[in-house]
Amino acid sequence: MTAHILAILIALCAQLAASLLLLALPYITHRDLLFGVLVGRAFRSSQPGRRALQRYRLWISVPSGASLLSILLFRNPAINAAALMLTSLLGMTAFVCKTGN
Amino acid sequence: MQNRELKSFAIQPPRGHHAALAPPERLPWFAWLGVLPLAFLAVAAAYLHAHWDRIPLRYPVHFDLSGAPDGWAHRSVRGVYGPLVLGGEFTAVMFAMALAGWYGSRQSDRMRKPMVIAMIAVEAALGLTFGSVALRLPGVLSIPVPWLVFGPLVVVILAMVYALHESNKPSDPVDPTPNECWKGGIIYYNPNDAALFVQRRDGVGFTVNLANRWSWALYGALVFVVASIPVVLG
Repeated sequence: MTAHILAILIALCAQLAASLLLLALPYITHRDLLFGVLVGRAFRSSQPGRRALQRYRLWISVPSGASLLSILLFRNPAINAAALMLTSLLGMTAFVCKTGN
Repeated sequence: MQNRELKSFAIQPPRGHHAALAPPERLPWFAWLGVLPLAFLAVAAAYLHAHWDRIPLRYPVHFDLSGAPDGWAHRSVRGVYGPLVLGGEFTAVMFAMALAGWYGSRQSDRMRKPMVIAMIAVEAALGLTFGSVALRLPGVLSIPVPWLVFGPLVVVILAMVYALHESNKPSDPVDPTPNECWKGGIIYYNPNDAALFVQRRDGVGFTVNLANRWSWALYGALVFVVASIPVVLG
């Protein structure tokens, strides 16, 4: 395995881990909380709760997919780092935007 | 925006018992394990001092992905002991955070014990990493790279799995922090809450109450450690 392929694999793994962590955030928090707002545990299964979760997943999935593609296509360390940072930033923005505080 | 939807569905936690902390509780025995990583670094420093002559005058300190050295250092007090000093700073801050976590969070919080254990585990991983890197100088000790990388990583992963397992029990009451004191669901600022650490709302674990002046001391210590890197490592 060449150093170049290893670098791409590491970038892909880091990107994938960050994306999965962001996607998991609403599910590993206390069941009474959703995006930092105390809403009660039944709210998640309500229509607004499900819609909020769907939109959050979309917010994360699109930049994550684009970042994974850019890592594979461009194979540039600077782009890899930028893609990871962009996904994390957008993920946190999506989370904060949904808190309403 | 989605946030408006969620804000309108927000409910308040029960009021009244978020303001005060109970009198200090005795430190659990496992918190004292946090002294071991600091002791390990001190022992590593003593070992290096005793084997000073075996360290080459010039040695590799950084390697590229193919394993070829691409960074070199000279045998000097800063070069040899620098990583240990930096490791000592990081582990001391983590140990202080673990102690602050015990004394600065609510006694009723069942996540307090797992939090302290996880912090001590992270501290141990830091101590192991910095100590092993220093001891792995050519001519001193031969520590295989996989041990060096995966040893501390395994300690951290085990701690995270334990914390995750202990958290998020459906029957647990939610941390009684008022909604209006959370900024963006991430930053907690409540001058009426004596707690230094409260449960996060954006995942598993704890975050600091930024209205507590000790939170700034902790952040200040972290900034100090990071700022000292160029000085310590030269």
